[in-house]
Amino acid sequence: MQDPAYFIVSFDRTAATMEAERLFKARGIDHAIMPTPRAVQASCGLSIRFSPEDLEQVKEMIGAALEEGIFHFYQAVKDNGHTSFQQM
Amino acid sequence: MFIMAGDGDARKSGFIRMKELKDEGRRVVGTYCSYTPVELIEAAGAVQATLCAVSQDGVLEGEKTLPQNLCPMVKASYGMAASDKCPYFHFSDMVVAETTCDGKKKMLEFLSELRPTHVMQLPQGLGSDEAVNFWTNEMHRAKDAIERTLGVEITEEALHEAIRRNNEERRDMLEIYSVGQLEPCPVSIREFCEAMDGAGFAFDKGATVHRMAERAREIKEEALRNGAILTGKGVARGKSKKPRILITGCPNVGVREKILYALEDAGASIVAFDSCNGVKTMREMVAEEGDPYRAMAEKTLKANCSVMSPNPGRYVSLKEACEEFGIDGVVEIVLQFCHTYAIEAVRIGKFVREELGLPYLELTSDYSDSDQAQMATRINAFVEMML
Ligand code: SF4
Ligand code: SF4
Repeated sequence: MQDPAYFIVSFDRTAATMEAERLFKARGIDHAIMPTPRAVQASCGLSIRFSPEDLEQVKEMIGAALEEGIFHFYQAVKDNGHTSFQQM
Repeated sequence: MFIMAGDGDARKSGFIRMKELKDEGRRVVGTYCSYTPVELIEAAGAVQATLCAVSQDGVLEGEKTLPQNLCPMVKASYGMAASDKCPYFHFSDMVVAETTCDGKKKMLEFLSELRPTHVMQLPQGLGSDEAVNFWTNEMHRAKDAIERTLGVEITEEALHEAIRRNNEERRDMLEIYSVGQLEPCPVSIREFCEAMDGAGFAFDKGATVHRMAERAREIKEEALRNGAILTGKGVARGKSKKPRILITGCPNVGVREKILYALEDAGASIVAFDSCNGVKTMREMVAEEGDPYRAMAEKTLKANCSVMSPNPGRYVSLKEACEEFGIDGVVEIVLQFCHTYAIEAVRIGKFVREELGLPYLELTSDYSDSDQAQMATRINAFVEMML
């Protein structure tokens, strides 16, 4: 049984992560900064994790504030205890 | 068996800890090299972060600005910083770096456009009091620059405490490295590298390293009970189950998979490093008595790096390490376009073969995947010859 556990948005630049974190905080959206999972990107980077119910709001918020191409959304799917990530 | 920190992706979890420290108002100083006096940074109350210079991603970013025919470390250092891909650089309030090789010192001119960068002028050769005096003076200049940039004061007392604590950490590191003296060596290179990352990127580094040193002691006792022996002067060579390899040369984190892991996959056992991530930089302590600035200068100048000319200490330290760790073969890693190590490799190779009587392999590589097959072929041939 697959079930969308949470979403992440990953960033190519650290400054973009910091800007996004500020927006999450300003809007009071539950979130956590985490290292970008290795399955998503091998090299260094940060992502922000959030809940499925905030997806539309987050997409709209990030899309309006940040330049296209420097952020990517992924859906984390838990399957038998193993988490995989699907790009959206 | 050796891993205690996190999920094996210590570099990444370190970012989060670093951000928390920044949010708490701590200052961060980025560094690259063994010549940096880490004690000064600690005494300033700042967190020291080793900046990223090991990914092919960074190389490609670096090549957007810098010429292509430069060592991958130099290109990646600048590339990760300029593209804002390295969170450690992002969170750094300043960088302290040294005029080591030509590529690095010219790259620092670009880096200083991105962050306040204090460049320490490194003497080019050793052996005279002048070099030590000059470098001692550079320690004072670095102190002033850190104080000015971070708006803090570095007291003698804090400096003495930082020296004492870092020496303790070096002794713990030596204890960890001494696991490599066991024959057979119970820790694989993969486990070892992950454990080292865990220590390197932990921000309570001293405590983490201390726990690891205790674990190393247990591993040693257990192995000795189970019939392992400790190598060292006088212990017969050539009796090992797997060829015991010492790694020397340029920093090797960027070529781990392609060279280090490949060596073990070919049947060898990497038991010692005589490069910047090895015993070489841990053996020398900073004197706890006398002038602390001179003591830091004297210690760091013993890094035995090929940027010094001549560099006699490297031969002494290599010989000692080969004896202590019962080495069967030496592998030298040269990063492409690193002139100083490439040139020195000619003499090091001769020294290892003729004076130490050991097989020697020099591998010149970069961070890309393009020469993976070629490396594997040469590594396999070298290990097979020793089996
Ligand atoms: S090899 Fe030399 S220049 Fe490179 S980190 Fe070590 S001491 Fe510094
Ligand atoms: S590996 Fe060589 S060329 Fe590269 S930074 Fe170190 S000393 Fe310079």
